[in-house]
Amino acid sequence: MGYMRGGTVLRINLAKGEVTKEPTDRYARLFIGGRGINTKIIYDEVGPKVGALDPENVIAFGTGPFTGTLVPGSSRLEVTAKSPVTGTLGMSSMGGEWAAELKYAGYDHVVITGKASRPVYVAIHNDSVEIRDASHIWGEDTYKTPDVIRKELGEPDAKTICIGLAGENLVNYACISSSKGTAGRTGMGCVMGSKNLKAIAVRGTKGVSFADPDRFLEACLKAHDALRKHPYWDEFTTVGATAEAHHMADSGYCALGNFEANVWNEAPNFTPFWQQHSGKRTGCFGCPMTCKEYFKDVAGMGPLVASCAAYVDPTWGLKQNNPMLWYEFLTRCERYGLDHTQAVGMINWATKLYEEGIITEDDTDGIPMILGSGEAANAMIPKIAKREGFGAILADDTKSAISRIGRGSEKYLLHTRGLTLRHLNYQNWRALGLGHSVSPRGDYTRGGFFEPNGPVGEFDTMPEPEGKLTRAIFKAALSKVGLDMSAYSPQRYEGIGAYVAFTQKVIAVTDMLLHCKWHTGWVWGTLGLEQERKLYSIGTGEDWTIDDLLDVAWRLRSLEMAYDAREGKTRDQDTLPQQLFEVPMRGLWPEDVQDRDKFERAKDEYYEALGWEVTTGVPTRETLERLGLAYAADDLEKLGRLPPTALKGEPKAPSSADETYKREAAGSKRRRQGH
Amino acid sequence: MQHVVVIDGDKCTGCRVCELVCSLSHAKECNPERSRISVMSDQEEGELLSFPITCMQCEKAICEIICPTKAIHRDLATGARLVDPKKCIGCSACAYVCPFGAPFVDPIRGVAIICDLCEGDPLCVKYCPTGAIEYVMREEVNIRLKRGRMGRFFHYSKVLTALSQVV
Repeated sequence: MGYMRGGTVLRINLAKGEVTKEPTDRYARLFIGGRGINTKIIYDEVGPKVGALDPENVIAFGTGPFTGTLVPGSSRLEVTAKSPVTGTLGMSSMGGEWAAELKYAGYDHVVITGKASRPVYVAIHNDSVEIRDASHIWGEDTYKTPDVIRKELGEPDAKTICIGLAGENLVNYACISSSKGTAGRTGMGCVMGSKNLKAIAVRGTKGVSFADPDRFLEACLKAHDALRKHPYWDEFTTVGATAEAHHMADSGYCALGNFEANVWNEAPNFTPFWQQHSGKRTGCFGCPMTCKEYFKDVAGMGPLVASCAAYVDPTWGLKQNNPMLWYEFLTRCERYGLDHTQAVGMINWATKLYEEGIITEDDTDGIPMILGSGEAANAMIPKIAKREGFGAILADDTKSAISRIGRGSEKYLLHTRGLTLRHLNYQNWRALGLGHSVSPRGDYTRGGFFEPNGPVGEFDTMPEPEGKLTRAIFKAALSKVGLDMSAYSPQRYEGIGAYVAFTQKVIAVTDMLLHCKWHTGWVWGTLGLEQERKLYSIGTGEDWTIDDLLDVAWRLRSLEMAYDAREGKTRDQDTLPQQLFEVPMRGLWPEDVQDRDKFERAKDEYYEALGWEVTTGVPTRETLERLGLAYAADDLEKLGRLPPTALKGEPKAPSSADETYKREAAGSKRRRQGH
Repeated sequence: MQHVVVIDGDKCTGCRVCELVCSLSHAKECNPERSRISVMSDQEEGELLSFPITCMQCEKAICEIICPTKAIHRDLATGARLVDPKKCIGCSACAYVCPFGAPFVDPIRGVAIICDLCEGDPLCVKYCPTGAIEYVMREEVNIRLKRGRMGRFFHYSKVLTALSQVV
């Protein structure tokens, strides 16, 4: 066990009922943790021949070195596997308490493969790992499941992640739930369901140690102090993440219904509803922000923990502002274990088809699918989870759903690579639109920072060096066209390619060390690159520079893109629906649409900034080799997907240790399968 | 002037920053199991109750009285009960007799651990985000608790008044 880590990657083969352990050290130097090590494992072990719902798919649950420590917001879990939604690399994360507990049990990652012959759950208690029968909880909702498991194990403090009926029924976008967080997108719950894996319960009583605990304490307390001094502290600790939703709504950052407008006079404010029905706050383990609203019960619908994502899609997306219907929608999605964002997207599509007359009430079990009808949306949720009636079509991946309806329905489904769009304004906010299109999984999260001068991002409040580097990017790009910084606007295209490339790397650092992105330059700016670097160096006793961290991030981004390229993803899939290039949204920027030429040029700039070949968007051999990923170049070459053109210019060489890479490359060759 | 820690469970959100800051500063690792303040929680059926438990700085501390090796004594400055690790045999008698379950024998060090009030500047008090843990002069504890209950009394009396008007 090293500093900051549990030290062990726990591997479980559900088909064979086998549990093995390997040291995290094998991966740590090159991939740090969290999304990094998860992705490396999936790259090595899940190739193009393995389907997302095949037993051979691997699902990795990862913590990072920060998890379980005093770093604020560090109890986060990354889940990575091949996704049934996109058919390529899927990833999802959650806050809450589970990740910290896993670290305290001594594990940095849990990696699961194979399909159990009957429903099972995994129970981890420090060194003991059991695969237990789950047939008595198969069918149980995600609220009841942890209660049953706690009682059965005699462990009142065990933490549980689980799937609901949606995951068991292999609903394409089923999610993974816990008491205070959900890993929503890319169908990770569906993957668990395909393995007959109902839940993972963990109890851990070990600690996380540091090379210099006193200095680590001091650095953490500085981060806590910075949060209390932040101008958003009062707002977020009293009103929570709804504050963020209001900022976004007021700035024209949200998209209404089927992306018809970026303003909504009837946009809801649910704070009074929360104050009336609850007034109680909660948040993730180890985070003082307590940005979540807790409801014990509303009108007999049971409890809800409302996190940051809860406020935009179920309201703006469904174009409905009734808080009771909002509560019903979310609690249903939570209990069944369904990604509410994708549910909104699929339901929206149905309302558009209904409006166009492509489907009628005969198709939709007698329910008029009218946009704005919270009742219709809510009625669909159980149908989707149970795959009943019209719900069986909406429960599918986008390709299958489209082919089952046919009749030209394809043009109305707003998605990128199979993920329906979250209801943000990708049309008028250029960096958001680009970042979403070239993001690691196909939706805006991890796709880059919000725009500076956006709803929460300002040049002045960015931490350093992110602020300086961002200003330099936009200054250089604007001066190329004879303008200075006073001309900067989030509606311009100059510089966004480089900005998205840079901020994607910054986000990747956070996803590997693993703590909540809200603390970074993405939102609050209290825990930026310099603080991350310091905490990681002090904690491990290793000497990390910001460039070191950004190089690991660059390696991760390139491996992710190489994975997708190996699966056959092409540059034209890194895009937004055509509607956003043709039909202007009503609101703050009348007549404004995305400009296809400028958008594609910005993509060129993005690929170049990362050392990837521009016409294909695929990393070149030079870049992959520089990053210690020669095996990825070999894989792509074998499939004829390695771009032949040489790189223009000299990207900065990373500083990774060659010896570690060679050892690790030899090990990974043995483990790879399914190519 | 001696202070004691006063806890308002209604304000606790279960974030456990107190456990992390305590264990890191004292045990030199982040481990809620080795913290001198413990957040007990109930999450059955969607419940979200949490309440921090720590030493109540008793005037007549049973832990001090019962200790077979007289390892526990009261710090003159802060009033906190301190454990002399040289005398402590890790028998757990203090853990058994405390009405609040505050002391415990640390699994790594094998000696009893009791809140030492961080030598007069408690970190948990400083870093609790909601003020659920306060550091209050002993003389003021009484009035503080009464005011806290008075707030609840006013709230309930309003509820009762409203109900009586409906009926």
